[in-house]
Amino acid sequence: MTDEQLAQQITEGNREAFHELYERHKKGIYNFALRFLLDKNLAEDAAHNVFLLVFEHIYQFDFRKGKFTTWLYSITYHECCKMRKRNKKFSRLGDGEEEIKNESNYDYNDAIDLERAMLRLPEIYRLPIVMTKLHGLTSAECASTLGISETNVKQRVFRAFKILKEYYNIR
Amino acid sequence: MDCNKIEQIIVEVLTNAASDSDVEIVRLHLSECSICREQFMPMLAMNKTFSIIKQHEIPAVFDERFRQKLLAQKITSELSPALKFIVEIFGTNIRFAIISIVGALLSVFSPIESLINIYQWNIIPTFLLIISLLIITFIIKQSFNWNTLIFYRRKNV
Ligand SMILES: [Zn+2]
Repeated sequence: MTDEQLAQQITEGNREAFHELYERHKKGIYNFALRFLLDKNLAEDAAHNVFLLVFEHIYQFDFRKGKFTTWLYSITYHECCKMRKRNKKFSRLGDGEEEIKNESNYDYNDAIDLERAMLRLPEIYRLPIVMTKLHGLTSAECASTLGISETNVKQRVFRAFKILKEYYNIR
Repeated sequence: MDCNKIEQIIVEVLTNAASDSDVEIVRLHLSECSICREQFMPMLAMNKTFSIIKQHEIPAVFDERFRQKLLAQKITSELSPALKFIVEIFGTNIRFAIISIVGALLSVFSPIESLINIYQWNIIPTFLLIISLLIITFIIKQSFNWNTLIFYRRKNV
């Protein structure tokens, strides 16, 4: 069953459908929030809030206007922005690096290095990279989520790659 | 093929928007042009590495904490607007809020006061009532499991 069909079922009062949507997306949303906010606790709170908002506002979701995931990611993006504003202590880099080490089992050190480098990118370059490269959003979907043009998304992704390349050169 | 054009195609490749023929054009050009090769090869390698970056595991208590928040939201949404206002003011615990409000009301319109009916002593029973209600509230609060009724404020726990 597609996300859109599940969303439809939630509006008809099917709680199981909500559970299914939650299970499908919780990890993705948490990961996006984590790579945005660079803080595990904030990311968890943000992800929780996203699903509460989804549950509350699901009837506002318009199937004809776009995919469910795009809608979900814009909610997440806005929730994370709010969360960051609310937490003044939040620092872009800080000591976070150690804390948000990826604990998945890796065969490749390259991936660990690349993620670490990516998390050091300024937010305006980091978010388009995270969305397009790690969450599989198209540049158009990313553009509508961030409220910028598609060309802008592409430029930022390219710039991000340039910065990452520099980072590797220096190292 | 001119190098500026290649850069444009590379941008498409990096944003997953390139066609197969685009990829082939890039491959051909990079095999011939060392300047582009040096500039773009590392980017293309990174682009591949991105696909093997894994997701972080969600915290072990993620689901449980969400369940609690969902329950709290459900209770809040079923409360009347007036009670919601109280929750807004008192924040975390709805029963505590209700008992405090009832306590405050009782202390103002106390039946005990009218029984005693000594004007000069008015302030003392009022004060005693508030104190005793607070103590009772505290005892009740301590002796039950309040977990399911905790209203989470958005905070960095
Ligand atoms: Zn060239």
